[in-house]
This record gives sequence, C-alpha cells and structure tokens, in this order.
Amino acid sequence: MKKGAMLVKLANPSTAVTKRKDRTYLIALILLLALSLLFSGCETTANSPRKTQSSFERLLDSVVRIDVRETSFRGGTTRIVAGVGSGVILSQDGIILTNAHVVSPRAVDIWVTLANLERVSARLLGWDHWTDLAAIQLDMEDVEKRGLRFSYASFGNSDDLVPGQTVFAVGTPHGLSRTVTKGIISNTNRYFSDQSGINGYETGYFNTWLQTDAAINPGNSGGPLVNGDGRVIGINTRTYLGAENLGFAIPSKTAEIVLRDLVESGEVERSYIGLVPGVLQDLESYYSLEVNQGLLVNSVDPGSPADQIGLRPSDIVLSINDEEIDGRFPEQIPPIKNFIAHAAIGSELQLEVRRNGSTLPLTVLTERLLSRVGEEWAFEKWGLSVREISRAYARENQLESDNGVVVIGTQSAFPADKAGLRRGDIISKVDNKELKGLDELKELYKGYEEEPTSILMETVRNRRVSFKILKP
Amino acid sequence: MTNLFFKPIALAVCLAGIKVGIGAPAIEKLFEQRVKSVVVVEFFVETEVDRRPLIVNGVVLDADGLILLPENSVPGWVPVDKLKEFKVYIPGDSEVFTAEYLGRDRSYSRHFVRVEESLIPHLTPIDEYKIGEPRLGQKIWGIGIAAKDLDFTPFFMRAEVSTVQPLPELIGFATYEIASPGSLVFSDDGDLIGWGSTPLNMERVLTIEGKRYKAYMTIPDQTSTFYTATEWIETIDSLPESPDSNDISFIGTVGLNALNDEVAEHMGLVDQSAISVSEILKDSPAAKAGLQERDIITSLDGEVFRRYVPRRVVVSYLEQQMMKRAIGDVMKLGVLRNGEPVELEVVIGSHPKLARQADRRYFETLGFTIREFVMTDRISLGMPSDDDEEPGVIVNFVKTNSNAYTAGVKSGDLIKEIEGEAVSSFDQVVEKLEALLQVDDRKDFVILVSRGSETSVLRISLD
Repeated sequence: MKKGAMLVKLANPSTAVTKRKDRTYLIALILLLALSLLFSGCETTANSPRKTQSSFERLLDSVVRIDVRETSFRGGTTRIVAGVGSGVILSQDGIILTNAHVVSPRAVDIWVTLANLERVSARLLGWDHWTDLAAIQLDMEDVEKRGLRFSYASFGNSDDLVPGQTVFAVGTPHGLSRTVTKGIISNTNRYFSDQSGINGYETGYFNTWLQTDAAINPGNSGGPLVNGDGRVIGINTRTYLGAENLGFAIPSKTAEIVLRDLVESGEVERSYIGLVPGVLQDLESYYSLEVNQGLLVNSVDPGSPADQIGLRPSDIVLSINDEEIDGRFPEQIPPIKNFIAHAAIGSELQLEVRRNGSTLPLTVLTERLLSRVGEEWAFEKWGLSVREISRAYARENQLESDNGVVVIGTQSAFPADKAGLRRGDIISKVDNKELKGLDELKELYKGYEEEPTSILMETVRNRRVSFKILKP
Repeated sequence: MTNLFFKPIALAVCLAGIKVGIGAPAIEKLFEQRVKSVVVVEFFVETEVDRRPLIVNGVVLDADGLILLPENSVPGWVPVDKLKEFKVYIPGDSEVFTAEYLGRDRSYSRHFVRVEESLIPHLTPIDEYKIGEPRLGQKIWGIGIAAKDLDFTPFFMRAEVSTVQPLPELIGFATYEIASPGSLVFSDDGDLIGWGSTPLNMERVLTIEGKRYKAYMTIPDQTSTFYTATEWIETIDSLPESPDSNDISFIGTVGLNALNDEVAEHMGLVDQSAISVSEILKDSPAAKAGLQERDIITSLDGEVFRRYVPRRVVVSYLEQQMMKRAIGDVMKLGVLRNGEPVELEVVIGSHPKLARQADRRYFETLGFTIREFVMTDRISLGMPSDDDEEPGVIVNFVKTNSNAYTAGVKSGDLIKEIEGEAVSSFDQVVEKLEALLQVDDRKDFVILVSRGSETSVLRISLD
C-alpha cells in the first residue's frame, strides 16, 4: 500500500501564479461562456433539465479559488511561500471545505475569490492531515459590510455512487479559476495511504478514495467532485504522477464527518492503540478462521498501548467492544482504523484475540493519536531549521527516546551549515546537556541572541555520534 | 608483525647498487624484466542465481608463486566458498594457468593466491628489486594492463611524483595515471617505487551545449596513486592459516568519528587529531577496558595522534593500528572524558563471526537464502547491542518472482517466527523449514519478519 501511495502526487496548490492573476480573470470569464456549452451536454442525461441546470449553477457559484501564503521553516530560515488551491462553500455563514495541503495552520493569510470575482479574506477553522481536509471561514463581517453574495453547495451521498457514473470536477487548475472538467467515477473504494504525503504528515489511513478520470491538475486541490445534480460527493485531492486521468477525491461521507468536527472543535480527535493491521486474505485457513472474520495484527508499535498489554504480531483480533470485525481485504482496513480512532481518548477497548488456536480477552487503553511530524521552527541567526521529535517519529526511526530535535534544513554559509549540521541529524545535547526538545532550544537561542558565543552540539545520525561547534 | 618475504632485501640492495654504478639499463629492457612481476587474476563470485566474473591485477611476492591482490579485489560480503575458478594470466599472453585462493591478510584485507607450478619459471618476485623512495618531481614509470580481449597486453606509462601523503598509509600521487591498479611503479633506475592503488574519483565540470554539469570521473583500469614501496613492503602480512580463518582483531567500538578542528579546539586539543566514540558494544574488549560512549580518544600508546589531512584519516589510522596487533596484545588509549584525561589499556580480542562467515542455506523451492544472525546485524538493524539472545535469522537473498518474493519477503528481513513459533538459531530455522518442505500436501506456511521498526506476517506458498 505504501508503494502505491508513493506514486501518488498531491494535486498541489500551484505556486507562482501571482503574475498571471489578471490574465487568469480574463480566462475565467471566457471559461464561463464555455461552461454553458458543457451544460447543455449535461441536460441530455438529466431528467429535468431546468432543475439540474439551476442546482449545478448554484454549485458553480459556491466553488472558490483560495490563495494562501504560509510560513515555511525549511532551509534554515523563516520564509513565506504562496500557493493556489480550490474550495467549496458549504454553508450560509461562509464555511469552506478544502484540502489540508492547501490550507494548514502555518497559513499567514488566506484570500478567497468568490464566483462573482470578489475577494474576501478567510481564517482557518481547523485541519486534519489524516484525511487531507481543512475548513476555513469567510470574514463574514466584511462580506456583510460589502454586501457580497455567494452560493453554497450541499453534500450528496458518496455511498450511492456507482462506477461509470458521470461526475464533474470544479476548481482552479494551474490558477485557472472555476474550471469544470467532466469524467466518470472509476472506482468508489480505492485504498492507499502515504506516510509523509502532506509536507511530511501522514495521510490516507482513515479513508478510502473515490477515483475519477475527470481531469484533475495542480490547483484543483480542495475543489469539489460533484454529481449531475451539483451535489458535492467528494473533495479532489490527488492524482497519479506520470499517469493520465487517475484522480482521487475524499468521499463526501468522510468529508461531512470531518467538516463537522473541524467546525465544532478545530480538529479531529482520534484514538490510537499502536496496532498495525495486515490483510487476512489467504491466511484464514492457517489461523482456522471462518472467511470474513477477524483482523490480522501485522505489527505492534513498540511502547504503544497495544504493546503494553502484550498484543503480538500474528494475533487475530476477532472483535472490538463486542463488535465483530472483518479485515480480509485492504479496502476494509480504513473503516476498522476509523472504528478504533473514534473511541474516546483514554477509554478502554475490549479486544477478543485469537492466538495459537485459543481466544483471549485483552483490554487496551487508548491514547491520543499523534502525527510523526512535530512542531517546526527556524533559528535564523544559526541558519537552522528543526522539528520536534514526536513519539511516532522516534518509534519509526528506532530512537531510544523522543528527546532532542531533528534538523530539517540549514542555510548555506550560516553557523549551522558551517558547523556541519545536516538534514536528518538529531541534536541530542547542547553544551554537554541533554536537549529535551524545541522549547529548550528556543531558550538557548534567546541567550545566543543576547550574547552570541560558541555552542557545542552533540548530534546523532544512524547511531553515530558527532560533535559540532556553532560559531557566531 | 612478521615479514616473511623480504629478508633478502639487504642483499638485493647491495647488488642493485652495483648495477646502478655501471649504468641503468634502458627503460625498454627494464620494462621487459619488471613486467614479469605482474600477473592478471580472474575468478568468479557465485551467487544463488548468477556468476559474476572479476579481473584484478596482482604482484608476484616470492619464488614459490605467491601473488598479492589489492584489498578491494573481493567484495567484503562474499563468503570464501563462493569464490570460484581462480585463473592467472601473464600480461600479453592468452594462456590460462590455474591458481589457488589462500585468503586475506588480517590487517589490510589484501588477498593471496598461489599460481600453479608450471607458471613459476615465467615470473620474477618483487623481492629481487631495490626499493626506492619517491621524491617530489622524480620521473617514474609504471606498467599498465590492457583489457582481457587485448590479451592483457602490458603497456608503458610515465609521470612524475606530485606529492606523498599519509592517508594513513603513505600514498604517492603522480602527475598522470602511472599504472593499472594492482600493478607496479618504478624509477628510471628500475627501483621499485610503488604499488598501483585505487583510481581517484576526480571532480570534473562537463559543458554540453552550454549547460554545465558537475561530474565525478575515474578511469577504472588506470590510477595516478600508489602505495609507496618503502612502507608497503614492510606491511605485507603473513599468510592466513586458512582461506576462511578468523583471527581479525576487535575491540568493539562503533561509530568512530574524527573531531573537526573547531570541536577539537573547544576541547583544548590543539594541533592534533582526535576521535569520538559513538557506541561501545557490550562485553567487548573496549567495554572491559572501561572505554565509554562519547569518550574522545586522543592518543595511542602515549603518542598523540598527528594532525591528518583530511581529518577523518585518523580513524583509519587507529583501526589499522588495531588490526595490525595480535589478539591478546594491549592498546594503550589516551582518552578525554568530560574534559578529564583518562588512560585505558584495551586487550585486543578476536572479531565475532562476520556476515560472510555466517552459516547460510539457499532454499530453492522457497527462493530465498537465510543466514545466521551475527553481531554486525545488530548494529545495522538498529537493535540494542546489549541483548544477548539470538533474535532469529537474516534473509540474505530473495530470488525475483519466487514464492518468497511473491509473499513479500525482502532481503535483509529478520525472520522471528515460523508457523507462530519463535525461532532463534540458524540450525533451528533450517530444521523447521526442512520439516515444512517435507510434508507432501502442505500448501503454505506463515513467517513473521521484522523490518525496520515494523513487523510483517507473511504467507509463503509452496505451490
């Protein structure tokens, strides 16, 4: 599953389009004319042309272009990077759903271009990289003051989709605002995950994807995939690199739930137990199981709750909280992960486990799910970008602890670079004292800013320890 | 260290001295004589699915047809029983002679072979030559060896000495390519000056249609560097007891790094090199001597490390000094620990089994080779070094599209369980797999492998 995911490229917010902006509006106008043509084509398949047209038009008026500038801590300095994506307004109070790789908590400013070409600023309500979704809200005071109008779309039911069904993707490919492309649903239940797909963040573990052949290009990200009635059945997110017409969207069923959580609390809380599932197909007879029963434990994260209660690889989980589970095929894994994730954090899960022919009950206490990506920061005078080491990162890299910080970039000819610090080095000690984490390093940096002196750093890389001196 | 081969040096020097006095023979004549000290050795590395031919140059060490091959002639991972069909050629001749592989020396991993008797009369051992020290600007010449389809024709090469540097061996650099690797370099008087070393990887800028590219280039069969004969001859080691004998010295330090100048200065170490230690293996000689992680080694046997260029050479120096010593010998290390000097005496131990010496077995039906777990696996797999238990066996090879391959087994996997039962030793795994393969109607079996920080349950089909 990782292999597949590696081939998948984010339908990135396209960058460096600012220069083209004026031209883009012109193109957008021309495109509007063209859209009506596309429409008439759609009428032939719809029962009630008038109704379809109006609901589809309403959808078009609810799709927005999103220009984002965000902070980047890469390369040993704090920089502002810009990108363009798409989004869809889903409520009267201006709540917009888009991709997490379009708008993240690092956004400095978010500008939304409405269908009527007016521009309004927006703020982030919350993001969820696991499903690659983010919610933003228009500055409604400004909207009212200026008397701006917009439409909002509504969700369809992604569970009702059938392969072959006609769908449309609407968005801002390569900065071309409100581009509509047409295709069909190619698959309703695609599964892949990506361990570091969203700027290093994990994605795709808790959802399956809709696959479509509607053209999806960079800038389409966050735009809606809609059915003939103009109902949002997915959020366009990714496309295959080097392939044609293989686009992927988050199903509306997932998006609706995530959006609700993001609006209510700014995040999606998930539980974690440290069980890495495998696929049971072809293994049923070996484990003397009936077909369509149980979940294979492929791996147990060291030190995780599942590890602590003695869950072992090659155990079979038959049920969780008396709910029977079935993990025969890869496509069945995300719902099971979701089931575990939706248990309250810190609650007990009762697992019925098959091991060596006998069944035993195990109780596991859930933890909060954390990303492998910790907080990032740049120390500009050192020319050093670092990231807090999360427990997940420490586990993944077989580190003894989550102490220290990991170098994610340096600026050439600055002290960190000259000292020989490189991306991937873990700074474990500063001036012979253990470094706990980022906050401690920020404190030390403050001291350096007041009075620059040489600093001795101990770094670890693949178990090799070396020493480096940062000189002012 | 004993030196078996160069006892007659004093005599040789004397004779050569007289020769020079009379007047050095013409280069052409010298070339014709000296080329008899160089041979070409061809052999195969046999793997589960193919045979890879290797061709290297070697020099004749003695009158019994003993040949010395450079240290990189045989890849370090290759078990001795996978080295097949040693053949020897005289440069410029297609006649094939046989040879026997005798193993590697314990200090430098140079290799020895002995040629068949019928070839010996055609060879001249290098101990007949006077040894010369390369001088800056001196004119030197060497023997190049052409490719196999050119009958390994020897050809004349000429350059001048650019510089001589301790790396930590004394390496001579010539102004141009001066010999083939493993071949010889002489002075115009016919003195033995050096032994062709590894070709340099030269940085070059390529400009193609106005576009600039940075490229690193080597000429694989010609080199401008050579081991200086004065030092090299002294370091030619004795023959190993057997081709696969394991008497390699070991102290159990992992991750030795040279300190950079700023750090050394910060620690009060001026005008010298020093080495930091990342990890000490449990129960190793270094651990017993009290060496600790993060110690800074500053001296050996009371002698402070010289300031090497580049700095990292000091690590090779220490490792070579260790390798040269016999098991049971003592190394006195001066160490800086939290700023305080500490003196330690490390008693050299013998190296735990190497991966190439580990037991291994190829299962044709399954399409993989398993091999015994060795100490170095613990380091490469990122496992704690203080665990004593054998954690399983290593998958050493997976044949493409075999049953193991289809099941998702990967080379480097650690097999921890078979059919739900924990396995530890190599013999136990072999026994288990053999038993599984003997059951007639068995369709598949299940193994648990560990890979990085994760495990995987894999079903291997027996169809």
